[in-house]
Amino acid sequence: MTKNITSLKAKNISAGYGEQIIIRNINLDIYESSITTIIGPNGCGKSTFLKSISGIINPVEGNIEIYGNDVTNLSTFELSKIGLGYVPQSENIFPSLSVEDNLKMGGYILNSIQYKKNLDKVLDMFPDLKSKLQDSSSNLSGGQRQMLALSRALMLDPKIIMLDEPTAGLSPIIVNEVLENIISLKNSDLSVLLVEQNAKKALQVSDFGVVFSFGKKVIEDVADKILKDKEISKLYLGG
Amino acid sequence: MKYIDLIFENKTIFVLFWIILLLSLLKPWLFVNGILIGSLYALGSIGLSLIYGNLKFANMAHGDFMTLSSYVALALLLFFFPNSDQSASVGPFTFKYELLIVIPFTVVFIGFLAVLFDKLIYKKLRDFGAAPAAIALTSLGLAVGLRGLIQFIWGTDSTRFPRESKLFWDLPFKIKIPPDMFFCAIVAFIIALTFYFILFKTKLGKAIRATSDNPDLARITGINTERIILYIWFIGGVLAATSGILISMQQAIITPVMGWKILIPLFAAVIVGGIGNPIGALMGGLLIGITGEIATGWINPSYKPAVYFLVLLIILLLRPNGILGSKGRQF
Amino acid sequence: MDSILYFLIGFLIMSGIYSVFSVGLNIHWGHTGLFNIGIASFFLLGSYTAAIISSPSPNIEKYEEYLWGGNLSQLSILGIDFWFPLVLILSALVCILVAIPLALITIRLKEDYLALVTLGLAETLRIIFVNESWLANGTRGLYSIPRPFDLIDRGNYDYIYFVIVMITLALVYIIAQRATNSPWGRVLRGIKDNENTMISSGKNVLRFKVEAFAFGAGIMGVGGALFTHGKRFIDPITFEPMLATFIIWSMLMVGGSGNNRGAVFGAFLMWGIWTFTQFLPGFLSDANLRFVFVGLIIILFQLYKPNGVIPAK
Repeated sequence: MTKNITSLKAKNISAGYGEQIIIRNINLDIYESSITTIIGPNGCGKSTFLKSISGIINPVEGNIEIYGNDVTNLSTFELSKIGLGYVPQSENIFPSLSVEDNLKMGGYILNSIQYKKNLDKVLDMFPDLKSKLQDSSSNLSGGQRQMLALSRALMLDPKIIMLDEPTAGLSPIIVNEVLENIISLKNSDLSVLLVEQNAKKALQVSDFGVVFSFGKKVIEDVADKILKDKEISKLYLGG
Repeated sequence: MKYIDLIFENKTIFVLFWIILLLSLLKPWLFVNGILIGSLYALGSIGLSLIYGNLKFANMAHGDFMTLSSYVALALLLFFFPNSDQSASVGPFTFKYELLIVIPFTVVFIGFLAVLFDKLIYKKLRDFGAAPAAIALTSLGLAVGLRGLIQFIWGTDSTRFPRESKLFWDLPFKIKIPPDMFFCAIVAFIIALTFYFILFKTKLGKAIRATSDNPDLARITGINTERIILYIWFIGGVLAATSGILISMQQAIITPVMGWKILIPLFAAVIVGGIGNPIGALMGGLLIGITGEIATGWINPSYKPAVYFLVLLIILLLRPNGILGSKGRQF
Repeated sequence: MDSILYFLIGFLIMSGIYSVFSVGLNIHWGHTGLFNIGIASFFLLGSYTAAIISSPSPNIEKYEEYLWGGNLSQLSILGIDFWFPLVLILSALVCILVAIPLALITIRLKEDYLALVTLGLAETLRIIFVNESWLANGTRGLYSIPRPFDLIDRGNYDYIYFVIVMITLALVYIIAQRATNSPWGRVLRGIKDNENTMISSGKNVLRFKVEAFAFGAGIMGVGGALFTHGKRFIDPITFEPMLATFIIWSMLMVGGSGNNRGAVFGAFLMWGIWTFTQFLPGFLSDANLRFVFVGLIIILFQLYKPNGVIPAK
């Protein structure tokens, strides 16, 4: 596996809520056209890491670079303008808006021509949503909800996309569908940073794997190697 | 139609609804008065509901913003048009053209003032994640301070709002409508509908609703939520100012406590209609107005505030999420 | 010299009375996080209860429509004014009885609904007492309210009342301090800090909140009764929100919510500022500027020192 251009570089990130520090001194690079998956037990700081990258919480120390530019002090909405997409784990759609309006909010900063273009592109990728545009988004099924959340994030043509447990609570068939979508993202030159409980399946589609434990990065390697490593399997992949 | 169904869903609400309807048939002139006064309450409560729904706290200073706007409008009128007493009034109404010129300036001024207070006060509270009650308490401080300022500048006594006396319109069934009140009601309805259009049909309105749903997610999608919040304050200020001025036009007298006294009916209307729902606030305002007026047909009119309080209590007991809202516990 | 001393005693009496309210509000806000902006409701209820039950039955010459008058002030046992503590207790009881249903309706809902309801209650009670003149002589108010422990000449009575206020304040303070340091008080602070933890640890949060609201309201009732017998004249205007609600909030904000000592300190400080700014020259003594000041105090302390000058340990 060749390593492409580094798109996102997290240097020495520590972050948490208020006084409580949850992740400590995390270094992580992710690369163009690749999928990196972070796995680890509940509460190990995976989601906190994504939140601190996206600026929802401010890291107490460390630097974040996107394509070589320091973006540590940018606020969340500015980060999304320069190409960082993020789909949080839960509450990742606007329930009081219709499906179409959710996508419209996804493309909030676009002008109407670009918006139309991106909307068509996203709907090509998720044709299921096409017939539901006028529906209230709170009536969507779990899988459709994830698709809406993902398409919402894709409305801005991100270069990097972070997905927090996109398969949580979905049936096995839909899990595969979502993972296929993620692979197709990678093929269109995106860098994907994935956080997953469904570790085995996620690593199977990933290029790189990272293991977090107690707020620290403990292992970083090519995904295949992590899958094959017996020790890691026993500890983090459920045997 | 959905709203009508909801009203009939709950038996107690159903009974109360019929009682009000029956009583209003007995004295239809009170019903009409109630609609006119209720439309003014509606305008005030739409602004209050907007802030309550989107910024998640009970803004105790809303009433004092209304008071302030009345005084500012009056001051501008007297300053720029000192001779407006002699000029002719508009059509069948009691107010002069000059007042109509002054209103937009006042309204925009109050809107910007609300934005300024957000920058000075509420932004800081948001940044350190203050609890809703702590923010509401701070707005109480602002309410007290504003009232003190109004009393310091314009005195504690009531002030006359310049007007020319005009005849009421006489309609059948003893219905008498002061033309001014009709004007105010029409303006209130137009503004309520415009605001509804903004909130549900425009991109800005959708961004406001998105921010209210989930501010973090709104930021992730690229919405500058801090700017959206400033829009919310501006619109809230404009709605407060408009309703404040319309109420003073209609009452012809303004006092420093008028805004504070109106808080209870406004909050009752907001809760009846469901917090954050502008159409709900409009209907809530009308309901409160009608109930209050009809009650005066049987009890001492000075008990009107007590009636509003009673409506608030009944709503909190029966449907704390409002008549249009869902059942059960909120948040 | 004597007049200055007398003025100071008057000032200390009022500060002491306000301290009682401030301690009561501290139970609501500082210890439990209950947002009560209708302190005036309990102020009014406590005051009128005390006035009505202690005053002699009305005669036609003095009052036209007023009907009541419990004349409790005749009750003395072994020459001691036993009636006065009884008045304090009854005033507290009336407030508690009103507070409980109010709390039951609103506390299960959003936290600021309590504020709206207390606000509405204060205004409603005021209107009732304005309109129903049979109840308490309407806008003309009740006067010549009896003095407790009326032992020395009228000119120097304030010294006695000062002692009464200080003893009552001390008792209220001790009771509040005991309650808030008890396991019960610790649960309240737990509710304030993190309600969900308290729910998951099996505490009946609603019950604790209702109890705290009733307790605080009872203390405010005592404050109202103290006020009545100090001023000896009350009418509905006495209970306008500025001096019956807002200033008490500013006192608690300054002193430090969550801390009874701070609540008392804040009451003395704010009442001192309120009283002595009237001697400032020119427009500075304008009462309305004091409104602005009270408002600013609430805002600034919320922004920069939410725990007040004497924060809780």
